[in-house]
Amino acid sequence: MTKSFTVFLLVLIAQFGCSPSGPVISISQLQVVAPAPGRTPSVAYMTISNQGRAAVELVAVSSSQFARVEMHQTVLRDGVARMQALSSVTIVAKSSVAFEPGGRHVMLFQPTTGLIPGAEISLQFKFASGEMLLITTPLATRIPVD
Amino acid sequence: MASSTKTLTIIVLTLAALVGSVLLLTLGPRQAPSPEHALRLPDPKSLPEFELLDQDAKRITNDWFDDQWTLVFFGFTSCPDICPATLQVLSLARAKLANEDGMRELPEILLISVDPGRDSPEILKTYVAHFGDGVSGATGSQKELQKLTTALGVYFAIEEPESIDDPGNYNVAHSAHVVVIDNHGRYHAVFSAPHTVDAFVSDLPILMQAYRR
Repeated sequence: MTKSFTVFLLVLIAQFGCSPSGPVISISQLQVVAPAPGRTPSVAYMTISNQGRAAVELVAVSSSQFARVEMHQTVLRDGVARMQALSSVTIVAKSSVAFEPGGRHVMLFQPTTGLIPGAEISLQFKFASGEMLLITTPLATRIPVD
Repeated sequence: MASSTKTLTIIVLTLAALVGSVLLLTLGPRQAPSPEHALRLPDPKSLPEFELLDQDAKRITNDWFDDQWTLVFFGFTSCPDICPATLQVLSLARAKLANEDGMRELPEILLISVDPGRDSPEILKTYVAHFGDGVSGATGSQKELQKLTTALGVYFAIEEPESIDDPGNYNVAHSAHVVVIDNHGRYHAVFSAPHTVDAFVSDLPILMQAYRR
């Protein structure tokens, strides 16, 4: 009886592709860093985790506090750093993707309000599935490095 | 009797070999430690004559490097990611070294902007101040920049703007390594990207010590 119930539950989970313990997509370690005074843009780093059984695709990041937000990647090839725009980022099933210094990053241009250190900055993450995540963090002034 | 003499001889010889080995290890010539992360040039290389402007619009020439060790990074102030991250790493490493016993001098940090069209001395001044003590900025004409970049194996190229409507919004591709200039103004070593604070903290004392002998 117990065995049949367990199998039933497993089938249900498999059927709907959802995790029994929390959301499928989560964003952690979000840091939004103001540029040096007088310079632009601000930059954001974070880790996006996908606990689901299917890949998810991040298609846009936006913020009501910036006129323009773009995803980019610093690519280091033969010792030369170049920036490439990213139209989307795929996070395969049961994995995570890091946006970190020297790699993927979000660039935030033309702040619509003053950039005050410690002020709350909200970023909205839009996925191809239509799912949206809104995360808020205090504005930092230093890039997190090891 | 002959057997005991032989045993005694073996014991004496073994002891002598042991004492000799210990003396050699403790009093013999020591191998200087080698850097783990930086690549040291077999022979430090003199720099060509150059002239840049620093963040106070003062002329910088070769003698600026004399009597100090300098970490040089080529970048630009509109760079959102790798330039501020690298300067942050160098600044944190310098602060860590300041707390280490036996560090009699600290390296200076110099950002040389390869984007002179946007990076005036005024902009550089505000920018480098953001990264704390010991950080300076400089830039110059393409010709003067190229003298240094050629000598130091640094590549840079200004890329096309993303939009013709916004010609001031362009990226600059550039080498990401950090060059170590010694206290005689010579190209001494190089740290390849990606950079970590620990790499500079462990290797700089070794590089800088080498020239005190």
